[in-house]
Amino acid sequence: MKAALDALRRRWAWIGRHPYVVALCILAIAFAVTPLLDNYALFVVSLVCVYAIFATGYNLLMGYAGQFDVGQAAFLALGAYGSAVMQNSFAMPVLPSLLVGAAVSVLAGLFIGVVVLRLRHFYLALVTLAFSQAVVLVLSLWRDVTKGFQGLPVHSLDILGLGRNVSAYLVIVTFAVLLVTLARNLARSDLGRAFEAIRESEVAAQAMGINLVRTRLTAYAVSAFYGGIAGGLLAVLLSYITPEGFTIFETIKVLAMIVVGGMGSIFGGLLGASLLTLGNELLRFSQFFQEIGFGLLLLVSIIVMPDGIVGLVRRLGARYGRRG
Amino acid sequence: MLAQFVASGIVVGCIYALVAVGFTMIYNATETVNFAVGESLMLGAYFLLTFYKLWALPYPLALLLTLLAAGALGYLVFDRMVSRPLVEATLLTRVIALLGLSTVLKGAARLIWGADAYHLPSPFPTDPVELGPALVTVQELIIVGATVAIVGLLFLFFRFTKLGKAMRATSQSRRAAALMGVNVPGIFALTWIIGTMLSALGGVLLGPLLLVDPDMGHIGIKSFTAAVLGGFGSIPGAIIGGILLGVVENLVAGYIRADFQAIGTFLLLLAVLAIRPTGMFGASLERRV
Amino acid sequence: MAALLEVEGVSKRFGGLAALEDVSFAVEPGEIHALIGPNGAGKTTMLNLLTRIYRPTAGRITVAGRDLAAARPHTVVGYGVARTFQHVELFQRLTVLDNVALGAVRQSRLGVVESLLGLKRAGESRRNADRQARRLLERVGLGHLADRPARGITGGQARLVGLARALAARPKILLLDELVAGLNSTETAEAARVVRSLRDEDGITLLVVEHDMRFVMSISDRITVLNFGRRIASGDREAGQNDPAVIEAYLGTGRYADAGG
Repeated sequence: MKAALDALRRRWAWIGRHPYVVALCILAIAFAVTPLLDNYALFVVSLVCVYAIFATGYNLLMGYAGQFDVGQAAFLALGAYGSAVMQNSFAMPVLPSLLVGAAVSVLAGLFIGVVVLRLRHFYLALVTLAFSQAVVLVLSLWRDVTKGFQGLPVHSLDILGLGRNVSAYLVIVTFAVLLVTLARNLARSDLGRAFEAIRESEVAAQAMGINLVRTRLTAYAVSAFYGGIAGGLLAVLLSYITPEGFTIFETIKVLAMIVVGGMGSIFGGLLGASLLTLGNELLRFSQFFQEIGFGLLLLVSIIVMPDGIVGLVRRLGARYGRRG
Repeated sequence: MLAQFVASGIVVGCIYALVAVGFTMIYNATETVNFAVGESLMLGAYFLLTFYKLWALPYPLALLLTLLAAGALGYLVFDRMVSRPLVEATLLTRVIALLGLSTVLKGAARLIWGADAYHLPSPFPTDPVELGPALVTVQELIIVGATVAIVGLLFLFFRFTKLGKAMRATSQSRRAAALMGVNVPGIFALTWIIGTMLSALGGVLLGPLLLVDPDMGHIGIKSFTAAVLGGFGSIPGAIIGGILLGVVENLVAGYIRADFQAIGTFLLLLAVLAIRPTGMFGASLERRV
Repeated sequence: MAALLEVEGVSKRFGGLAALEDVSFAVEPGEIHALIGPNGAGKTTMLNLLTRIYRPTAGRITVAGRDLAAARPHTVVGYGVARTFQHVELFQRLTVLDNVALGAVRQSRLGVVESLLGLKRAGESRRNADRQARRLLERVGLGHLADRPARGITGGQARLVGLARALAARPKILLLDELVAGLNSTETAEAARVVRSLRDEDGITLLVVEHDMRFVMSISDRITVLNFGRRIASGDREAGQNDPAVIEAYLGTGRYADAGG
């Protein structure tokens, strides 16, 4: 048993050392299976990728850097609306508009990061939550630009004449693979460890030479960027966005994803995003089952397995590794 | 005009105050920030709706049953299922659990009562009464009166009863209270019960003023703001914070724009945390950590 | 030889309360200097001033001739000052190795773009840091714990990891905050051996903030004694031991009686 686990661990470590190779392989596979997927399958995989991006960004901020932000939905909203407004009001093509949306989101992230610099724990959660609600409110009231509750249409992509669904799928999968790989690099870098250091002990981190303010703001900016891109891609996928699509429930969803998968582990975030998005799709006909489902998962996971699935597997692996 | 806004603001503020008091009590005793307080309020409104409107019971009975249901909710769900397993866990963990619970409760409400909004009738007349330059309804006067009465009762309870003193002791030091023979888990349970009842009462009073729907719980964020405004951990602060918040909100709605409330709340929160993070009467959150 | 650390006329007031009043002392290069005093004497405040967590109300602090006035808590390490913490403050969910390796991290290696791209530079410096960290752990006798999560080790071991972590910054002067508080006599003796070897083999200057007189007497060259925020004695260790003011300061706690044997 131990030998098998060791072999698995070695294989896993190899994957870890060659992230770009693995990423390219996954991308190649994703592209190759395109003809085999019908429109609905393309949509589901794209949705999983969108939430994978969103969850990964959130994981970096909350799981790694330990910042208890409950306002992630704001970044999703700003990314979606930022890009949609660029398309509608300025006839910008889709891909550049995505980057504009992400830029808006990053600005918001830096703003809220500065605002909460002196806050911790509950206060941070409260202010970020209030901020998220305020953002959604502004988006619904600024009717001249965002058409308020009426919503905005989002232009679709068309790559090489492959049609809306396939084009969206290809672009979204590419973004997902790229951004997740980058996030993994970050997590394993000195900056990633600095994130974890400020989570564990701010005073010790400072004594080591880590600039608290800069590191925190970097975490906010990165998670806002990821949220913004996810928002823009989600908008493309849904073709139409309204402010009601960006309530606190979106934050709860992505929080559940990283809690169930494992905060502080990029792979955990991916796992959670995949499982929960797929599960959500199976229940999409009823909003209340979605709410109960995500809420229960969040509640039960944090009580029973606070380290998520990844944490559970690690603990079991340690136990069996020692015995074998 | 100003007097009118202030008067209406005080009425709503009383409701915020009640909920904020329940929330503060829970925090003081169990060091848990109850992010599901808005949903307790929402369920209180729904319970009353069920007993009073759907089952057509007389109001006093319906109110009593609502309180009992709220108490049961506080004990079975909040205390036993969520708070107890996490007694030793970090604050972050407990907040996450309560966020999850709030979503579950919202979904459950949607499932049980449907997604449409209900109108909650009130047994109190809505005849206007002149109070100086302002015009308030009898119902609004009753809301204020009820708040005063409940706060008064709580004050007497904490000051003069043995149980109340035990609760205060537990708030100040869990370990010392346990050493003095206080049944700390029992006190926790009682705190959750009373706290949930207070939130439910908030829902009962608020219901007739708004429509009852599963998303009504977003009012919870206002009681957090009220608690922060008045000083975290301080019950008198929660009361004053609640009333102040209600007045400020109403002034914003009246003089600027009604839909700006969420922005107003956010800016007010920022202002308080920037200028005087401990609020008016409270101690900083750090002291408990 | 110029002193490595010079504290000149330093006062720290919090509102109306004076935690430190006109304290001056100097730490010579290569010496082990103890800063002692009863509870509330101002030792922790002085430590926080030395690491710029607080700013002095009056006075000057210089390290190797550089005034600390311009430093911020995270730039202090760049002046050659490293510290351990009374409550250790390890990064619990990281491994012991990661804890020590982080001691050597430099803000210049924390660029966001390089980190995202996983550039070679970030990877190589990391391997170097890890190697150095392992060596430091061997030094304090804990090499075998390198890959353990930090929360799974004992209190005494944690202290030593904190020490290794501070050493990773290659400081000129190391501030030890109650290193042996709560340790048994074996662990204390071991800690004393490590501290002495740091001075003897690595040439590190140490400022030891302590309660435990036995430990202090066994390792320090010179002592500065604080009480009620003021310096009441300073000099070599025999002088400190016999100074009547020092005896009086400690008499109430009985600790001096313990140290005397």
